[in-house]
Amino acid sequence: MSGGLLNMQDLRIHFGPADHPARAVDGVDLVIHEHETVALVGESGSGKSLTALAAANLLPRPAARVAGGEIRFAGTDVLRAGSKQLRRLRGGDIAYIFQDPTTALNPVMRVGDQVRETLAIHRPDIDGRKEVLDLFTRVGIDDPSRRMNMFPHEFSGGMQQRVMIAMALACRPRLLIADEPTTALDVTIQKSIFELLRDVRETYRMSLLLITHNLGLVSGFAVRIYVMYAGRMVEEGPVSDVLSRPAHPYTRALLDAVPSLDPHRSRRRGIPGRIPDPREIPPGCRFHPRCPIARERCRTDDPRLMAAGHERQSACFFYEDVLRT
Amino acid sequence: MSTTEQDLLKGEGIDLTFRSRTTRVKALSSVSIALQEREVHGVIGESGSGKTTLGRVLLGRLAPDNGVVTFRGTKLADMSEASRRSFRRSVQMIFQDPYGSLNPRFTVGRTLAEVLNVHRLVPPAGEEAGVIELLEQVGLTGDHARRYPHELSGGQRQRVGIARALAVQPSVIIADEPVSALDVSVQVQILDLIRALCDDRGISFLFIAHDLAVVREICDRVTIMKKGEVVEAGAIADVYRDPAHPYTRELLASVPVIRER
Repeated sequence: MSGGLLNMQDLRIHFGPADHPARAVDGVDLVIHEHETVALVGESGSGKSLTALAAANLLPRPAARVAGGEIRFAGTDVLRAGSKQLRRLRGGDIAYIFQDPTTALNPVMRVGDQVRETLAIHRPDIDGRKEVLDLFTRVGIDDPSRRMNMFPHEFSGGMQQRVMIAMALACRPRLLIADEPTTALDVTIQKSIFELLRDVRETYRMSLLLITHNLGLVSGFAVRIYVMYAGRMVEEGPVSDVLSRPAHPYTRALLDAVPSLDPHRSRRRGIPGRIPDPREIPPGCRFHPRCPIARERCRTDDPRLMAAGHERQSACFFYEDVLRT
Repeated sequence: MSTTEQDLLKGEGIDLTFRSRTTRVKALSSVSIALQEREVHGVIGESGSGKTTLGRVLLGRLAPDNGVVTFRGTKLADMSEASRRSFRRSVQMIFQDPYGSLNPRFTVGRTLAEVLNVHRLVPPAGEEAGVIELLEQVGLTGDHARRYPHELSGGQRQRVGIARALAVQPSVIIADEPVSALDVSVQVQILDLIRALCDDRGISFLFIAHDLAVVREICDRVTIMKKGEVVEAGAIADVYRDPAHPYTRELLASVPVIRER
């Protein structure tokens, strides 16, 4: 396998009966390099969260099973790692923050203790209290010595998410995975959380994977982007290129769907139809039933990612036409 | 605020404080708002700004400490029991997460039929015909009547939520964050539906949201709230072009933009 801190190849995650599985992730390649910020974008049900959970072998089992592929993190074979290696990986090398901090925090435990618990597991030799104070200060929680003794319900949503970020940073992860980190928060808070993420990724020199359905959050934050649809990557490339000139009709449609304040922009459009049921993925290109430029070939042939210009890939036979529009 | 002929649902000088034995929270402080005929009126504010509480006061679900709510010129407090019943039908509410407000063990058809039966609105053609008509009004088909909420996508569930509100032929729908839980790709479809219900059927919407870009797309006027107070109100074009209050400017600056090269 080629370089990269995290390297997934042909990952397949299935649910349900083996003879008629729901192919939630269906042959995904994903690479994240050291110190790189990557965005993974797609609608609900595209398989982005499952892909991210698989990075630390955290899939909901036994419901989900890995039906194929390989995942390597800094040389470790994640899917075949023993429990000791996995413990180091989870929370140690790879940390997650999720959409809803209310459900991710323990409601009956003081927030400081929750962060200290992580520290006790992964860094038992340090002074937990002092480290929590440092972390809370770092993530912008005022009056940390008082706040660390409070319970999650005494915090606003934005402050809870800061606690989650402090917990994620506690073990100096090499990769931080932020899965819709601000979707549940107000816009003004959203902005400050992104500023914080920007700040800590520099300080800790981490790689960062941002998962979102809103392309508006990606520009100016991530360097490279993957666009996922119905269990597959359909486009990959540098953020600035992909957002200014998409090479896949699905990316184009997602861009047209972002709400905008610009009164001169033409009215945004939705994407007709819905993402296919992973048990009934259509033949040919899986986007063809919703695609405005689908042709005969798209109904029969299944496109895989192909080179679409410098450092870019698209899973559309007609990517050149998309690039021109 | 003076009463004009178009004022359909109006709150004037609304104060409301939530009290428990130990704490008091001032949720609304002299809030005035007037929803006119045939308009989509946005209410924007952060969590805790009082926008949902205001919606519940206008719905008649919460009684304010001070101030009056009027519907078509009649004070809510002065209404007879019969006019109150008709008011409760005229003003409906839809929610952010229709999954939480639909009975998971009822098919969509049963949920809608129940509303028609309770309000004795079953058309002469029968219950099933009434359900199909409702589903078609929100862009679904009779086929969806047999499904359960978990078998629908988020956008389809929100359509069912709207169909349930339409069942009683309301003149106002209070929509509390109706697209916040939906993918951006699906939001547009629901916004188009709301706009069409306003333009074609004359239903007015109080559109409660925190996303300024979404409000700009669909609303005619907007009221901006912070900490239980109205900080700014006006026509969409004016407020967005020339925001008068620093808080409005802060909100506008927080909307993520795609920087194209």
